[in-house]
Amino acid sequence: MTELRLTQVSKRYDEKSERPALWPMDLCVKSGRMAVLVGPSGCGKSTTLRIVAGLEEPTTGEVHIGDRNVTRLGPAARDIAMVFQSYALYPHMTVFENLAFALKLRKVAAADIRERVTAVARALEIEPLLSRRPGALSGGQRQRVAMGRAMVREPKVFLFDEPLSNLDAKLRSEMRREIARIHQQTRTTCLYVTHDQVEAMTLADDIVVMKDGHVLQVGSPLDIYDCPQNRFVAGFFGTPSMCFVDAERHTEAGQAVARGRGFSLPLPAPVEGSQKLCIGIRPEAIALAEAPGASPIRGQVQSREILGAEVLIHITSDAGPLTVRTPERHGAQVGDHITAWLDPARAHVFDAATEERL
Amino acid sequence: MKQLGPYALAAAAALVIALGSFAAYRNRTFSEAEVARAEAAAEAAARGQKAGPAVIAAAVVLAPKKSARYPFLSHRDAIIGGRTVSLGGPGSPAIHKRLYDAANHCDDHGAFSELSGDSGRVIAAIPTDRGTAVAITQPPSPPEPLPWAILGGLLAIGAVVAYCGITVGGAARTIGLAVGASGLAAPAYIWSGAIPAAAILVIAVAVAALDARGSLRRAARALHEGRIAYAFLSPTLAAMVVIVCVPFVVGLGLGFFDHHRGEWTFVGLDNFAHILSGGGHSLADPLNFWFTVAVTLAWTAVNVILHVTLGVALALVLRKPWLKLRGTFRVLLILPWAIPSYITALIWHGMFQSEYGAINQILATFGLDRVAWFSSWTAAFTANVATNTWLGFPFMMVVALGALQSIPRDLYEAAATDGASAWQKFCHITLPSLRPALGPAVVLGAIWTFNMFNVIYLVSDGQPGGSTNILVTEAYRWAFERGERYGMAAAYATLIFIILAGGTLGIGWLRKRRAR
Amino acid sequence: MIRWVTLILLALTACADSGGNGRPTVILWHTYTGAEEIALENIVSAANRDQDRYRIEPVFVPYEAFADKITNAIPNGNGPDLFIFAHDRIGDWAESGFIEPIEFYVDDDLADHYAYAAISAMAYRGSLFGLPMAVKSVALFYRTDLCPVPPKTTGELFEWGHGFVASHPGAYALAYSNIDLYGHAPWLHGFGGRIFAKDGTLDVASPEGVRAAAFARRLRTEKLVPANATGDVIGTLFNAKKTALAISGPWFIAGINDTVPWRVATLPVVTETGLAAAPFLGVEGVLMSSRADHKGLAFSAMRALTSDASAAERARRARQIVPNNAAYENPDIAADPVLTAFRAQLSHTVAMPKTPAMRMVWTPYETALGRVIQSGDDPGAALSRAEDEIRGYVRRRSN
Repeated sequence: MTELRLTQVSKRYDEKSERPALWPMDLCVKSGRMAVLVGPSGCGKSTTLRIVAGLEEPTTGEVHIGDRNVTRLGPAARDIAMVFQSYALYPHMTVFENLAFALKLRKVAAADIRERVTAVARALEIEPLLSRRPGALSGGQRQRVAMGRAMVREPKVFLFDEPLSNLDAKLRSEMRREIARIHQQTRTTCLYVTHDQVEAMTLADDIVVMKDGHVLQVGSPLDIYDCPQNRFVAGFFGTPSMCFVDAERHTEAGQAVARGRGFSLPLPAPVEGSQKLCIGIRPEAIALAEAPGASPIRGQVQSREILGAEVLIHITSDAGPLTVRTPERHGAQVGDHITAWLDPARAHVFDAATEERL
Repeated sequence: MKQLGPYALAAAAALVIALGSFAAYRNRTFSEAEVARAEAAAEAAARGQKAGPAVIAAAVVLAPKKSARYPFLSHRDAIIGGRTVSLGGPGSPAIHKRLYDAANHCDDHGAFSELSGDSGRVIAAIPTDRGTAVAITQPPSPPEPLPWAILGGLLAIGAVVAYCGITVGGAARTIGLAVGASGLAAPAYIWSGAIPAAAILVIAVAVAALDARGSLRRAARALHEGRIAYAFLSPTLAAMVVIVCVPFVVGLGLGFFDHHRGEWTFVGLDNFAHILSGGGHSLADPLNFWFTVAVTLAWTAVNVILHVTLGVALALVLRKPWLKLRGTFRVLLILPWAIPSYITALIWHGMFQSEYGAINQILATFGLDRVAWFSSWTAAFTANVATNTWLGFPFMMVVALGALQSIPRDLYEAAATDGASAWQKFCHITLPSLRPALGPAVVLGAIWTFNMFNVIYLVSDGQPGGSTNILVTEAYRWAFERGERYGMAAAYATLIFIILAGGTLGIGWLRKRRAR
Repeated sequence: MIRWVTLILLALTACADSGGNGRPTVILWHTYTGAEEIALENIVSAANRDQDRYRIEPVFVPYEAFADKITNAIPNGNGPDLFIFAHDRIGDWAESGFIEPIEFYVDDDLADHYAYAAISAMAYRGSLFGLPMAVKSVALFYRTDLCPVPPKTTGELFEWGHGFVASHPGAYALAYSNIDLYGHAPWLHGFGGRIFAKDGTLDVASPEGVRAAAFARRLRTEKLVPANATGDVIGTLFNAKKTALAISGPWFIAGINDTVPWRVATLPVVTETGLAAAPFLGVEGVLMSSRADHKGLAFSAMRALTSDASAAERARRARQIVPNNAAYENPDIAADPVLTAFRAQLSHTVAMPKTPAMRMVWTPYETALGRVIQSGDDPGAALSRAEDEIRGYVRRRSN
């Protein structure tokens, strides 16, 4: 089994530019795990992936796959396989030939090729398509072929470059589960790039959040969700996203309290540092009914989004806009003045200036 | 009345044929009558009788008095109206020259009579004891007028018959139409025999049959519905017919005739038989059709291969992002294409010249022997190919550049991760991606090269010994260097067409089969 | 509608009117350029000035296109009334009825104005089809700095030539267009060969013709002449001291640099036969289209174009070798050494055959010469093959 390790890898496309595309970063994907690089476009996640693939050379640093230093090797020598956003299927080859291409280049015996391709095609349920050309396939089918082309190689590391972004929502969730299933079966080390936090949450063993060429946080999906290390990570994950309100730190009766406009929230732990705070609170940590220990805040209902099982209620409070996720479907109506209850145990406290978690 | 549309269509076609057969009939009877009149006048002149009406000149031209010094000069006197007149010399009346030339012609070829198409005059000459009797007549009366009464009457009767048929309906409609439109067949038969009459009958029956099937009504409706479109199309359609269809059909037809000094003789498939049998030359003889076919095929194959190889290679080089001055190179490389091909061909012909040609000069500076470029088949063929490659590669390069730019970079990256080397990427990604664009370009380039007259004619001109001729230059030589044998040239052109059409269809079939 | 018809009719009448101008126009097609064209224009303007019965309108047509244009234009009625061309197409055009016999207008006195050989060249099958304007043949040009005395015989040519080539590396003794039949003709006739026998049958592969072809090959294999030289190259070689001798015609003079010392002599005698090398004689004449409108007037124009005065003008200005006997009474013309040399060559020339079959001879004969001289084929075999090929073209195909 194979571990993927990046040490102090950085990339600067233009030597004159001040900001590199990728600041020096360290990353280790343990053998058999799936790491997902996630972040907004331009954050450096694709650059990282392409450096791992060998399609770009890092400006500094080293890439190790297993115990081999592959920094100076071409893509062919790295024993990796990559699934492209555009699938990059060879348009003049049939599905079978697409799958067999890498094996053929490696001079695998024809019988073996047939066996391996058929096995992969069966696993991906694309067996009936083997004699067709990519032009005659639907988006989902192409996606499966692209996956198959990577799988048939049985590489040490799988690389995915936003593989689902060209699919519609339904297919995307289906394929997400498919990828997860395959990963469960093969247990190959994977590096997966996406800008979609849902994909990251659902697929990853480890999530790597990136922004502007920096790695902001590395952790398991629950870590990232429950304990975001800064305001960006906190805001990036979760639908609807976390609400932020400004507050100042005070001490009331020996208890640290965050006080903002129209609310006052006891802080769960004594926090050091800045006076100015930014309180993040997820919609599910706000209730419309009074709960023990919760802090009230008044506001007016701006709009309602009915999700079916739950309702999202958008409130304008003195502290700013808040979103409440509630199972109560007939409660507040638009225009009502209501009181929302914040759960201090589930509030995240950030430094307003550095945006780091306190 | 609108119901008579199909009848009007058939009647119009029949009328054209009937008028044509009447014109032929009138010209025949007219010329027969006039020639008879001129011959009678000549005989009258021979007997010394007075000339009849419509005779412009009648004379007995006396035997020539040969010049003692010049065998091609002779003096002739003529008896005109009883008086002896000396023919010839500057300032003589033009009619005297006609008498003089007619008498000469009669002396050489015997009695003749001839209707001049331009003036309508008839000249007749017969040899007599006293000399040559010549008469020139001018037709006294205009030719018989068109028989509008007969034509109009028959058309009207036909219209009535057709109308009755239409009113009754059903099978009567079809029969009425056929019978009504056949009326003009009778006078056409009397005037010009069975062929025009049969043509009219065929048209009448065909129109009636089409009418019965409703095709005519549908066609009329389609014509009416698309009248604006057809109005816009008609100038182009007319131009296509005149510029493409007519010459094509005429060219095909000419292949069945032999042209010899202005005379056309129908020879059936003789031209083709002569060409395809090799014209009595051995297979190794450049004049054998099959030799030329082999040269043409070799010429086409070698050129197309070089054009594609060079074009793709240069396109690959020009694609490289590191190449500075890429734009400049692109322009420079397209230049050969932009210069008229005959100018390029003439320049290359000069460059291959053995004494002062640039190529031999360059060879000489390297201490190599001068090559007599047009003395051996290989050298001459090479010279032609070099010229045509220069002319042909930019097209392939432009096509390849366009196709290369449309290959996504992902494909190369995918191939790289799949483990392909640079050469394998070229074979498995670049070449197959070029194929859809290059395929039609190769077919087009092959057709151009197959018929590349300019280069062959201007560079090697078939040298040595006609062995570098291709089919199209052979066709030219039959038309313009071997005594205007247009029939042979047309037969060559037809064969070229058959070869190219067959080749193109064959390639299309192969491609389709391959795609499947 | 009526207005349109009226407008069109008006336009048509305007077109028809503009052609008039009182006297009939005689359209004359020619291929003359340079000094010859200037001379022709002078003659035409003089003729137009001196009488008021017709007006000659000269039209230049490029030489390459001329014969084809005549062949296509005259039967369609849009050709010229008169045109100037070499006599070798007369047979073909006379058989096709494109040109008008003019012996009606000509008597012995008029014919006496011209050299006998020249006016005879205008005749075909007992009829006269034109009046001669100029005779053209090649002769021997030599550079006096390289070859003060030109060789008188082919034997001398070889002897002197070997010495010359040895002492002038890269140069040739003689340059002439050896692949083309026109350039080869002096040797063909010098060896006693011919294209057509007396009875008019083809006689290309005669033993004399074979010997002449072998002679031409020897000139090349012994490096006395360049391979495949054409007109321009001969001129360049001559100017660049790369050849001492050149065989060419009066048209060659315009291309010789002013610094080159040159003269013209008659071609050498063929040592093997004792016959003078005799080039083809081309007689340029003015011919009348059979569709000419005013034949009497057109003949007057022909007469004016070939008059003695006109001939003198052409000889003086364009150095044409004119066939008018009277022109040489003019001391200027009689003293011109070039004209004299070409006139001397005239007595050793063979008029280009007029039979229509001649047109089929050129290309196959050239092919045969190329095979003999360049590819080293057997002369006898190459010429028999050419004869067969020509026979194939001459024969009429019938069903």
